[in-house]
Amino acid sequence: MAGLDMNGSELERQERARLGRMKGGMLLLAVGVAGMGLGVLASVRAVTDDTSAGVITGVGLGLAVIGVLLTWLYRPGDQARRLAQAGGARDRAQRDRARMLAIVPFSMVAFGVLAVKAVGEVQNGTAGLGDGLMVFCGLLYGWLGPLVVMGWDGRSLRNRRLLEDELTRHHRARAVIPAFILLLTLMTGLVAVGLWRSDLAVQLAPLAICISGAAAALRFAWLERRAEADG
Amino acid sequence: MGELRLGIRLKDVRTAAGLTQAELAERVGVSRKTVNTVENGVFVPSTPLALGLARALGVKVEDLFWLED
Repeated sequence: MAGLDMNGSELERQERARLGRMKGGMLLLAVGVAGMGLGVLASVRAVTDDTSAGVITGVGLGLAVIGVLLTWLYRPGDQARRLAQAGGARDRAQRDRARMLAIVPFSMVAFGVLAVKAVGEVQNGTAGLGDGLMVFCGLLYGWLGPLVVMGWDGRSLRNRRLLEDELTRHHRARAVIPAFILLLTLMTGLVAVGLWRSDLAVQLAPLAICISGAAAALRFAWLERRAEADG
Repeated sequence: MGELRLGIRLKDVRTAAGLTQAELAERVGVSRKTVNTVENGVFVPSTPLALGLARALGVKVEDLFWLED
């Protein structure tokens, strides 16, 4: 029974953490909506120039979108349903990983796109520190998804007992193989582009890495979610 | 020799034993979705996992899995 008690406590802890994250999302949403309101107000009242008002509105919109996403992701579920579906710490940990891998690819591709522009600035000799950092971040994000899928990130290494099992290895292979083929295809395309415009090929390389990594992460998350479904 | 096809009776044996997927998964040390995918025929378990499932249910592995003609 000690094990059952421990699982119950663990579930309660998870629920508290979920509630905290959801509240954080709601707070972000509120701040974002307030920012959007301020931006619109500043524009209408001509308190500031249109560019500043646009930036304030844009930042507000971004925060609001992130807030909505967090609130939705961590929305409350029926405790009994959660308990029935939980099936132990292993399932919860793996579900958290799948949830994370379903979100991360979008930021990976976004950073890949930003890195393309930054590489262009470096090639033109007009790059600042921000561009250098963006290239670094773009490449770093390209690796993020695949590292989690392979179980090589810090969290996976610490929780190997929970996150690693036979089905995980099966899903990993099924996620990484198509992503590898995609990477080969994109790199082949970049070599072809490089024959014509070598600068463009180098510029697009971070995006190709990010897209391939994102594909592996999304595929893994999709396989994990599908395996959860009954029937 | 044609392709080997696996017959699976895991769900019937598990429900007869009065276990949920989560409980069986806990006994074997895998995730619930592993048991779920094996039951649905989506995932073919390795020999150690098949033996582990049989041991957890107190049956022979042939009672859970067999080769279909």
